Amino acid sequence: MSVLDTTAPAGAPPAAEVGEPVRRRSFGRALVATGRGRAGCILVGVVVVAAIAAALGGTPYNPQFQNPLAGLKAPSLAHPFGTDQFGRDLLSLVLQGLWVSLEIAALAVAIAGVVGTVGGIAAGFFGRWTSTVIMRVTDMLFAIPAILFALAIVAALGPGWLNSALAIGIGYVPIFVRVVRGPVLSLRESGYVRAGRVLGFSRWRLLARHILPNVAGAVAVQASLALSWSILAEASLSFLGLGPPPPTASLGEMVSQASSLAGTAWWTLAAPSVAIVVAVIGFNLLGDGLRDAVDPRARTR
Amino acid sequence: MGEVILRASQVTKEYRSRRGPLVRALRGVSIAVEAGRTLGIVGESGCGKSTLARLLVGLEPATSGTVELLGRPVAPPRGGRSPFARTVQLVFQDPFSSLDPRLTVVSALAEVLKVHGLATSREARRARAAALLEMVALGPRFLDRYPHELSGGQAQRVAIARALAVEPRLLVLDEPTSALDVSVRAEVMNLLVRLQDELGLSYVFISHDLAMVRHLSDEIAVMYLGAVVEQGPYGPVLESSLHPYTAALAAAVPVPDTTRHVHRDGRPPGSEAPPLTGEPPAGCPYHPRCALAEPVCTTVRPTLDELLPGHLAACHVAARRVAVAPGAPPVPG
Repeated sequence: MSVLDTTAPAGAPPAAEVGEPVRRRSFGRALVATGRGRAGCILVGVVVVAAIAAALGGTPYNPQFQNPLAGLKAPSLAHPFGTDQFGRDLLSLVLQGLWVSLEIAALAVAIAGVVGTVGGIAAGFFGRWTSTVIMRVTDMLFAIPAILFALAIVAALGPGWLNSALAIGIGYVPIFVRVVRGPVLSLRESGYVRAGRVLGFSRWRLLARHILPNVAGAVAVQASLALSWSILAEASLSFLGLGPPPPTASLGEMVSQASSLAGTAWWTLAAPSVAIVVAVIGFNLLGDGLRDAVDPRARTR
Repeated sequence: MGEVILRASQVTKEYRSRRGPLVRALRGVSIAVEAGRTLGIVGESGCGKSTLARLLVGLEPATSGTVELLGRPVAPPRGGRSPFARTVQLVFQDPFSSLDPRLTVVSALAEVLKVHGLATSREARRARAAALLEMVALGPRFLDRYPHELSGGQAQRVAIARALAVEPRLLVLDEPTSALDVSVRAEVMNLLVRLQDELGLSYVFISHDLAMVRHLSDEIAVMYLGAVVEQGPYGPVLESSLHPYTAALAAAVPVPDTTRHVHRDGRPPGSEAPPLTGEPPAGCPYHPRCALAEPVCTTVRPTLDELLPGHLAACHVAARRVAVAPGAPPVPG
């Protein structure tokens, strides 16, 4: 058996291996490394903290407290966002509405994310029949606009917190199925999943340890984007009067109420709209930041 | 004759797509590998080498024929884990795609040890992983690296270390050096030679490059369009090829020794693209590219026969020449 010439003896590491120690960023640092990621973190952080504070009763005023003498007051130091026609503090109402929106959006995305990811993995990893059934159902759901679908469900089940979340969540399941199935299809035939099969790993180990973590990033990105759409969808539902019933504050319903008042009291429209826009943009930017940060290659300098 | 580790008998593999023709990737391949020896498999792209590799390790089932490891038939496991993992391992062409980008080197190695119960504690697994890395000449500082922080040669060594973690008897090496820089190939080849000496491994070394195969191989099988066309000990197959295709492959290897006689047929290899899909031509599948083709070659498919002791070829012309004049060079220059 002959041996090829080599520049280095077999025992000694080649020169290229003697490098400086590897420097890595933490996930958090990678997330705030881009402007979009940083802006998304800040906006989402502000929105979430404010909403949680409101849920714990930390609003400047009782949101439901009506003061007929202080109706439709323009923004001032006492009421930074002004007051509505019943004299309620708009800042407090917006914060409470934000919490309700986030709650519904989070539950909706949780439903869509879990159902969609499981469906996408099943469609990508298992046989042709499973895949065909799941993808046909997905296609059918896709054909119906999510908001129309949500409207139909809420109309059928009746308005309410849980029904809104369910309606919005089901509408976004197909997106998660699609987002997950593609990578799973290619991961299934990837070198390291094949290697794992040759190495004697069970199917469940391959799914849990090698396929799921490699689609988790895509799911996280999609979840962040879906949160922003869900907030918008929830606002649309309550704008149309299909949100949580009063007296629960709701951003969409506030916009709806304000549409007749906006001519004389612009702040009644501006306050809930700005809250919606900030939350939507925040989650969108966060999704962009996540997209960059979840790639481990982006984290080595 | 040593213990036979792997034996494939008349293995065929067909791929049926919903549209398009039936693709016959393997058409009756028979090979055997003895303990501690190396079988080199050579052929150009699309000849079925990698398909054969996947069949040998049980990644895919054969359409017909049998693959046996230590006398037990190999078949892909249904759902559960492969019972052959401790016997045979595969080293892939592209080391980066064969390593999970999210696992550090130590996690990748430890996972294998854990699955097969080869090291019980975390510390034991780390120590064993370090020992495995040392076996492939990588220091312990590579333990905590991610695949993208490795060079191609380092990644391929990690892939080899991972395959060795289960202490297999046989490694199937599917073009293990062709994705690497030329400068790194020699290192990996030397590593494979040393590992075989130290661990008594058997290899199936698959390559499109005769120059690579001959540094390791005891036996060589030359494949063309899904079938073995010539097989035998590496010296005779290379130096006095019976099949014109082997001769063309050998001629394509750059030889630094100008005094050596180089066989050349009339046409350079690859002057006519091989039919990658669909049916090969009738008769000998090589005849459209063959300088020695005769009328019989276009109608009758030659069988793989032992023309010289231990030296098999599937060629009408070679068979006749060997029969007429056993001493003459089978393929004239």
